Amino acid sequence: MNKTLKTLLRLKAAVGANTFLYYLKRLWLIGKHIPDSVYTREVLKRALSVVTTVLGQLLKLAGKGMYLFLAVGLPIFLAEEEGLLAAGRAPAQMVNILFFLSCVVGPMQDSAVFGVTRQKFIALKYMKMPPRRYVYAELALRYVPFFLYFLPFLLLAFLLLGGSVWQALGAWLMLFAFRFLGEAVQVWYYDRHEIVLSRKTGLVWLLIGLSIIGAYLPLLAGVEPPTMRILFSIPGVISMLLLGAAGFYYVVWGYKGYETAFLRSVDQKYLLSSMVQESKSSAFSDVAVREKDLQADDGSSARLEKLHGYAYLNALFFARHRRQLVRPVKIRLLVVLAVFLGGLVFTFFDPAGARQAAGQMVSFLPFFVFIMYFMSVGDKACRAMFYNCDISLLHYGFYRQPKVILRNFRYRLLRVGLYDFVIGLALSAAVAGFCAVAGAPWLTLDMLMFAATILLLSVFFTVHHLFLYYVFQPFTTDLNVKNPFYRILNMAVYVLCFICMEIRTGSTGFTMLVLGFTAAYIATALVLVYRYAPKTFRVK
Amino acid sequence: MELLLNGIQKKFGEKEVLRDISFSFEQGKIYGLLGRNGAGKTTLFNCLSNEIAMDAGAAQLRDASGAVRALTPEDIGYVFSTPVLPDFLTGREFLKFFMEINQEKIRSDQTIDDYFDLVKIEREDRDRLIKGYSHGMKNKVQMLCFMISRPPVILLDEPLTSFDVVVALEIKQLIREISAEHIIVFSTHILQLATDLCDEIVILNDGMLEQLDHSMLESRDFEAQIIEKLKDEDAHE
Repeated sequence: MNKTLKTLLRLKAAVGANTFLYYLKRLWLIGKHIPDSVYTREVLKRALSVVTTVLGQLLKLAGKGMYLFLAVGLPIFLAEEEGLLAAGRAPAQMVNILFFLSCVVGPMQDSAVFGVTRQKFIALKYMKMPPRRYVYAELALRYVPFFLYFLPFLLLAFLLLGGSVWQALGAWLMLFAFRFLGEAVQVWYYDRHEIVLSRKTGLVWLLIGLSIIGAYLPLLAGVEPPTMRILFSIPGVISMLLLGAAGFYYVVWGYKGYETAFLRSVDQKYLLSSMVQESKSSAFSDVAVREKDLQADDGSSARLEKLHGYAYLNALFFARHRRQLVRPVKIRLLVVLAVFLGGLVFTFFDPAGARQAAGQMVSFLPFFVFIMYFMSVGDKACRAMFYNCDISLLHYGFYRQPKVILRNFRYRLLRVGLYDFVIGLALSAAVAGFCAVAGAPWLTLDMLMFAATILLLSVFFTVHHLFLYYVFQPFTTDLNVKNPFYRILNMAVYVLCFICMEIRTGSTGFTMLVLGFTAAYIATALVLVYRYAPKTFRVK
Repeated sequence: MELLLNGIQKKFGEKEVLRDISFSFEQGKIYGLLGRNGAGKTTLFNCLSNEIAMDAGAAQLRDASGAVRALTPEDIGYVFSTPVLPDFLTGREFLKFFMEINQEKIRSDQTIDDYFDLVKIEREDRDRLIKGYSHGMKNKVQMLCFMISRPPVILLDEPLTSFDVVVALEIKQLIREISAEHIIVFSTHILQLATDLCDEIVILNDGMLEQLDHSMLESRDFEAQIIEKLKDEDAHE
């Protein structure tokens, strides 16, 4: 056990140090100066592994504090502020929140026995460590710090919010008991059905949803939940002790399948890093084509037959991406329509209020900048272009010719621009229509400027996304986003849009500023695309 | 026609993959580029097809009249070891697009279906999305690309490894049939394939190219000699 633990710790530390060096080498500007031989520097690596281990533990410690503060302390504090919670009533709510989040959701969505990590995979599949001893070591490594780090923060939280030391210790016991009960339930269910419950995402999300309701509804409703009364009574404490101990016994000694069935649960596809990978590629999975997309447009692709070369390719691309591109546009149009209908209802019930709101519509322009940011389908279109088309065709010399790159850029800009423009048009029409119906002046210069800005914004966001895509081509074949400039520019535009929302008045000055900025940006972006895209638009 | 490589170099970080690639490949011969895993075969192909930039050196074409010009990506038909084809098109649509793009280079009047017949892609597969094609089918479509556009230089990166024995034989036949008009370089680490199909064997080792002597190809302990060669070069690294 001791030996396993040591091996595991060393393995973790070595992986930590190597990962750190790997990413350090990839850092912009700094990375170039670090030689490949850095991996052979034993002493440096040992020092690094100590640092990464200590840092990791400190982060875990801080994580417990953050969790208690954000999930428990803050809601209770806010409830007290709002007068939903009487003084001295906090502990019952705290125990209830902890019960649902840490004792129901916690053990169900994450299991120390079944969680697949890179080191687990290495230890069990490559190094053939005895699985039972591995599980013991993993449980110790996971839960000793887990409970140790929780204790001080639990004490602090309960004492700060008017609880007692005993209540804090009770909550601690509760965490213990339900964690092991949860692990035991998972192991038991796996023993019966060879299904890992924490991998059933539907079930886990259902549980999360229900638990969030269970945790916070009493607080919002001002009702005192009975959780603490039941669990912290003498029979409650005895049951928790017994259940926790039974769970612990079953996981550690009771279950006999560690050498056989358990090993089958260590599947690479549940590797944490491949989950990260999946979430990365999921940025692309929503744009992937399916065989169904082909059947869906049978009629139209036949009509495209008479097109030639790139025109044929581009037309087919957009015909086959209806689900990914046209449907979102339709959904956005429906949302606009729904909001407009909402406005009509509002006008019907409160004409005076509606007229007042309509009169101010135009001054909400800053807010619409932010809305347009989210309405644009430009980002999605670029991901679809890369993932389904450019990632492969850019390997062909003919597709990389400057004139071809720019020609396709023009076609795509017009096509995606059209989608965004239609959304902008609908939005402007809805606002103008609402003003007209509510009886506010709508045929004004202000409204014209407003609509012009919205439409220009729709062009702006199309150009923005395509410009970033063509000039920085940030995606790699393994579907990462690599280019730092891409991130910075994208972030900058997002922040600008966000700042716009903070501006309260949409004066004419603001409209002119937006008009000027977007026009300048569009012009610059187009010049940059024409100058640089022929060289920079490559698969990296 | 001749493909001239002159002092091509490529480094990744501190690792010199291609040190000094200088060679001349002639039309009408099939060259087997033999090298161990990681020797730089794909890197060399990527440099030639402008997938990645070379650090130094040049690649040129000398035509029948003796005039020399720089090699352009359009001169090259490159069959990647992992096929790259657009997912969202059907096989037929991709070929239609490809043929229209390369219209001026196409000399025969074969139709799309003729081409499909050539590599034996079943009728029902021709109108399915490429996304659902198997590795071997995708590779066949890639082969068709150079059968259609007939570029002067054809680079095949480990092409036959993904085919079953029957298809591999057919493809070999196809490559032999067109070899007279092209410069064909065929990378592999499978010695058998190289000796079986190629007229010349070029070894990529230690970042340099070396053509094997014909007398060596015919000698009985040829395999042993090659292995000795590859090991040797390894020793002084």
